[in-house]
Amino acid sequence: MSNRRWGWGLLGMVALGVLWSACSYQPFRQGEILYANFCATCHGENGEGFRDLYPPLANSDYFRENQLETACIIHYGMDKELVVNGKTYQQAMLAVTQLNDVEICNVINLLSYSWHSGMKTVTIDEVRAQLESCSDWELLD
Amino acid sequence: MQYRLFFSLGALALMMFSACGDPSPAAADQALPILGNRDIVDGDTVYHQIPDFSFIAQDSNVVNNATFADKLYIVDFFFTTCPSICPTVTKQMLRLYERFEGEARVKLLAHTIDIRHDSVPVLKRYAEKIHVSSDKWHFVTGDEEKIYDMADDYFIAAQKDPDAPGGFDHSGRIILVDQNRYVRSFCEGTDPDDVTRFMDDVQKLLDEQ
Ligand code: HEC
Repeated sequence: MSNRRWGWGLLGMVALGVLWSACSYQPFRQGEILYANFCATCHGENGEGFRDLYPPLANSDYFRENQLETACIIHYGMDKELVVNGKTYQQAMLAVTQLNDVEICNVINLLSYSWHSGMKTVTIDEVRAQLESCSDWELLD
Repeated sequence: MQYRLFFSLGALALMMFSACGDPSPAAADQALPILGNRDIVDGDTVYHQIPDFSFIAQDSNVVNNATFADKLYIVDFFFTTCPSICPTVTKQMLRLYERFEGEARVKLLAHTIDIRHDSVPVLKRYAEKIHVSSDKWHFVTGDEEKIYDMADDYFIAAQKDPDAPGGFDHSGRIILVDQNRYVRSFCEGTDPDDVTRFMDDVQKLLDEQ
């Protein structure tokens, strides 16, 4: 009797566990790790940015409008005046040279998926073509 | 019998662990020690003292030892484009800034270790973008060799390293210097808990004045 009760309890816990992981499932695991290691110190763990120094990535209109260009920003870095959500930023971001095109693709998709609801994801072919098109950018490192 | 053996081994391990874990912070009721090497000269103890320096800060003003006469000051080394630890350390420096914002006896001094990129206007913009007052928090540049020498004097490792992210290798240590140019405390600027402990040290030194 009591064994059976234990059994049901266990089953319930497993079911809860499955439900929980299903809800928190996030398909861009590599992107998540790369973001934590290469972007979060500046842009913040939750993409919130930092004062007027580091622009936000969460709900950034700039990102939304320049989703693919982000590949170039990561690969070459950027140092210009830019406006994000109505605020002006200007501070050099160096190239994150450790990331290859597949990894860049995964980071972009993580940002799109996590912080820009309804945004489509990008493909590796699109990222490659984009990187081709900005091959004249100056490398900042 | 075996139990007892386990127990004493465990206690030993615990002791060893706690002995290594902490670079001997002052006990709560003790005065902060003067850190660094000491020499005996003519029977007197001579402590490590911060030497003369003179740098240029974000308003193109000179910042030197006189800037910190009668002050406690908090020191770090960074560069504006640093992708690794500096953003974290700067955020902790900002915590210190905010905690002591109304306390005129405390100032902050951040040295760039990338003098080629971090010109005075770049430092000025950086300070403005994080909204800090240039009377309180000095971001300085100057002679490269002198900056690296000063890092040594503050017990902070800093060097150029083409293989490090951003081209420089340095520690995220934050240092507390008193009005007699003695180093009195330090913490790892990448560790918020350690910075909290350091904050208490700053307060303690203020209370001693
Ligand atoms: C050293 C700090 C730093 C790191 C690390 C960093 N960035 Fe940035 N990022 C910046 C700054 C500063 C800007 C603004 C650049 C400018 O003014 O030209 C920026 C701009 C951006 C922008 C465009 C503006 C916006 O907010 O939408 C995107 C997108 C971006 N970064 C993505 C990333 C991604 C993805 C990573 C990690 C792979 C990353 N950044 C790593 C500092 C950083």
